[in-house]
Amino acid sequence: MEAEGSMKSRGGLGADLRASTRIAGNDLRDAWRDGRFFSTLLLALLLLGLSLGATVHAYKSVQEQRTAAMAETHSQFISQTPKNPHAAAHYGMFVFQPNFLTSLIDPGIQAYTGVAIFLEPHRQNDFLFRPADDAGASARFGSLSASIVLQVFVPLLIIVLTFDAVAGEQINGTLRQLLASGLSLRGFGVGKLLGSVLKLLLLALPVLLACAFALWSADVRQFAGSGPRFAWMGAAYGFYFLIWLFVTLIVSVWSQTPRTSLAVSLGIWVIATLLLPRLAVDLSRTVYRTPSNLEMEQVISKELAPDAAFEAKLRRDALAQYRVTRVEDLPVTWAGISLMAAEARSTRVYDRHMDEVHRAFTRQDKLQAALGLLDPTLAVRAVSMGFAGTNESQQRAFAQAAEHYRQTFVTMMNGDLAAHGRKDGSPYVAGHELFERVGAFSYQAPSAGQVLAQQWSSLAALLLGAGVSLFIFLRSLPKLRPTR
Amino acid sequence: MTLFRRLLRYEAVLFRKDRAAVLLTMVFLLLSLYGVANGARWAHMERTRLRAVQAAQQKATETAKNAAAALQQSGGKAASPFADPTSPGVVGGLVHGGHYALLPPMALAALSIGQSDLRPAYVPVALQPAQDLLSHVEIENPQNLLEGPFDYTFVVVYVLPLFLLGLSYSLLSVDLENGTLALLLAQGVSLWKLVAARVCIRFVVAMGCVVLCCAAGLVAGAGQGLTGQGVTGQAVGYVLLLLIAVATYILFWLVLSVLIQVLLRRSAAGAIVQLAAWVVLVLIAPALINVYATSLHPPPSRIAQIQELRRATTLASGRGAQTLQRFLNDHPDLAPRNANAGMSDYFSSTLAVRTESETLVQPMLDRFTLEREARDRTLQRFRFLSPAIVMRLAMEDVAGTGDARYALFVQQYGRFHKQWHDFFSRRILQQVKFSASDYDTIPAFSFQEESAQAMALQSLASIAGIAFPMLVLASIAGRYLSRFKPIS
Repeated sequence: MEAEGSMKSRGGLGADLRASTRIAGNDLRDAWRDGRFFSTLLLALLLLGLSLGATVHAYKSVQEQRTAAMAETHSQFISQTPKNPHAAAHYGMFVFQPNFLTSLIDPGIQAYTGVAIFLEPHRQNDFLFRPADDAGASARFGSLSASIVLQVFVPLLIIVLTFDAVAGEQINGTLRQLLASGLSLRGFGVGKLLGSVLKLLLLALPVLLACAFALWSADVRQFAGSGPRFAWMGAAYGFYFLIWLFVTLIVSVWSQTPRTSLAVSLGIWVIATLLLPRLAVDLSRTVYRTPSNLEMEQVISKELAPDAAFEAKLRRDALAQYRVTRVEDLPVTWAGISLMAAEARSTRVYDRHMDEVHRAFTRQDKLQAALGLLDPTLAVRAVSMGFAGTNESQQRAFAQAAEHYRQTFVTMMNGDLAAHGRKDGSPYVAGHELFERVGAFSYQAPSAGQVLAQQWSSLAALLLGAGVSLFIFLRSLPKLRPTR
Repeated sequence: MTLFRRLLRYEAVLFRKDRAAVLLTMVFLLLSLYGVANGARWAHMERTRLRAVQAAQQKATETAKNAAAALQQSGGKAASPFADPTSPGVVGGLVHGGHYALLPPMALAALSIGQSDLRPAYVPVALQPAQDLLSHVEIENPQNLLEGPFDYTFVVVYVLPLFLLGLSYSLLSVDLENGTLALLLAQGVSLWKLVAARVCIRFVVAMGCVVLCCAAGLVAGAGQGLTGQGVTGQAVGYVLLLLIAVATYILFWLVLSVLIQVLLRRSAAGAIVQLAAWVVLVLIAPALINVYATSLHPPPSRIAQIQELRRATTLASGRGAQTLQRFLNDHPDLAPRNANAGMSDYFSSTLAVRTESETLVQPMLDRFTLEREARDRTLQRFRFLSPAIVMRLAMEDVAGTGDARYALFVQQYGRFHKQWHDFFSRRILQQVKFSASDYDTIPAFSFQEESAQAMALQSLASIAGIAFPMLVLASIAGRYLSRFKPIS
């Protein structure tokens, strides 16, 4: 009864609102006066400046190098000296990882994939040259991306700004005074909520503006084109910060002293940002295992071993198709047919095994994202990497586009050999007219809508988390009792 | 019983009665044991994998040797020139590999997965460029690599300071806030002894957990090489060095906590500042050092490297027969016994073109190596700015999962690759058949560990690197403690 009574103020809703606004204003003033807000903002901007400063500078030169390299690798291929088309295919081509502006905010797994893929007949190669291999001991220890600042440091700053919002009033005995002056618990709670949200906005706005300015200065054209991606990332981080704010407020309401409130909030922060993400990795790795390189190589080479039955069937089919009885009577070159069939066979085998591995990766990622219902850091990480274009599924999409391109030009070369190769076994050479038919590789990244279709569950988890934590905070207010 | 011993006893009783402290200790111990178990599982998996690689290599060599002997006897020809067991180009791996250089886990591998999930523990040995072969990586979800392993090193470097923060953030300030400190001192208790006793209890608790986990790690992943059985004296020595390093690391954080409380006198403010110190030393300082070292020695572009290698290969291939001819002019001893056959031989040309293109790009690769070494040196020099970096590197070094051991492996691999290249290229260019008996003379790679003395010196440097800032902090704390007023 007492709790219910204390929820209602003597002056009604209007008075509550006025009091809430006053409390929020006081909170802002106090935060400004004790230097906590200013130093927090400064620290956030400093960290972001450091993380973006280094990458924005590198972004432009990587972009230029990539464009030049893509053009050069294609030009090298089409300007080969006349030669056997299959040998020309063996010369191969490199395709280079796209460099999205959004990756400046969240480089995601880029450091752990590689910068290029070499395309050649008979095999599907993996990415080459992982930047993490070049980084040495500091690869993991010393990364400071904007996403780490937003996912790890900003929640910490929110805790530092908010942990004593309610518990501080408790320990100082001002909560009792406020309630005695006729203020309801709801008015008090809403005031604290408003004050904290305002502080968060004042913290987040300069941070977001600083990010936007850095990105705009890096690449104006891509900045304009990446609007929807940035908007979704912004929304995800907004919900994420709100969850941290509401959770810290809940802890502050439940704690008798600011010391307890700080200790519990920090405990939650350690678990959510430091421990659970690594535990989630272990769990997903244990549930969905991947083969070792050796195991996969052994299985593939076994499946691709010379197969007399396969050869015989191919020969029978070719003879039947062209209604002849001898290979010498085929209107096309047997070597070309054989190469095309071998290529198709190896593609099938590689595709099956690579798909299996990537299916396991996708399942691992999905399990980690599903744990985002428990830990918002996992959810925001999935959304952030998704819209930055730096998660596993989008790297895979790029690798698949590259593989499709590989099959196209290898088939074109083998097809030409089959159609025009000398049946007497004398050398056949093709020239520019054939090589120039191979167009340049281009890659269209998934649209923001397609990414949203993949990441909606993590976004929903964040929204749900924000809603539930706000609800718990409001529900916990009536149980608040002045202790001093 | 002396006053200090009595204080120790009371503090131990108080610690046991503090449910939050006991719970925190249990959680920390659980996380530590989980980290060790993860490391042990990883080391076991690595050993199993390497034994499989070794078995596959032995089986493939045996099969090829028998096939070569059969061909020799029958005088026949292989079904395909690319699968001819008597061709030195095939055996040497000009087309496909089959031989590997192994880097087996060390005795204390269970204590740190470190960088070993990033670096391959088996590298193919073939006639392709060494840097291409070293870029073969294990199949692993990049998102898992991004997060990093939950190993015991992670627990010690990241979680241990937070655990100590939880145990000690109000070690002195709580009595000050409650007004009981003045009462205690009025009983004749010295402030120094009180603080020392409280620090001592927390140190013993933390060290107890560490000793237990190191012993578990030693037993779980013990043994050198691929078998991983038996605890060696050397491993015990390394564990002792590691324990001294961790003990110094624990003292560093405890002393820092005391200093902050002596200066700020309030638990909440002290906790925030301690946390800020943790964030700066464990998260931010390494990142800043990395940013600084990378901006000072930016890694040359891999895209540019790929293109340069491509141009060199194109140039060497374009020269075709000229490349081989020039190569043979430079190495007349390698000229084929049948001079006319050499010009059209696929393996000879391929080898010559590869050697030529490698020579052309060597200056660029050297530049790359120099920049990387300079960056590593900068990182090594600045590591002493954060005890967390020193601790991490020390643990990875002792467990053999760090960059230093891998760099040694790469160095030895480079030398071995050259030996392999010389062994096979001579036979390829001279176009001699690879006989069954030649299989017994194929060079074999065996990794030579760094000497125990060098490792001990390295560990002692790390211990000194943590001890020095700890002693500086201790002397400052001591000075302020002697002027400390016990009334808030």
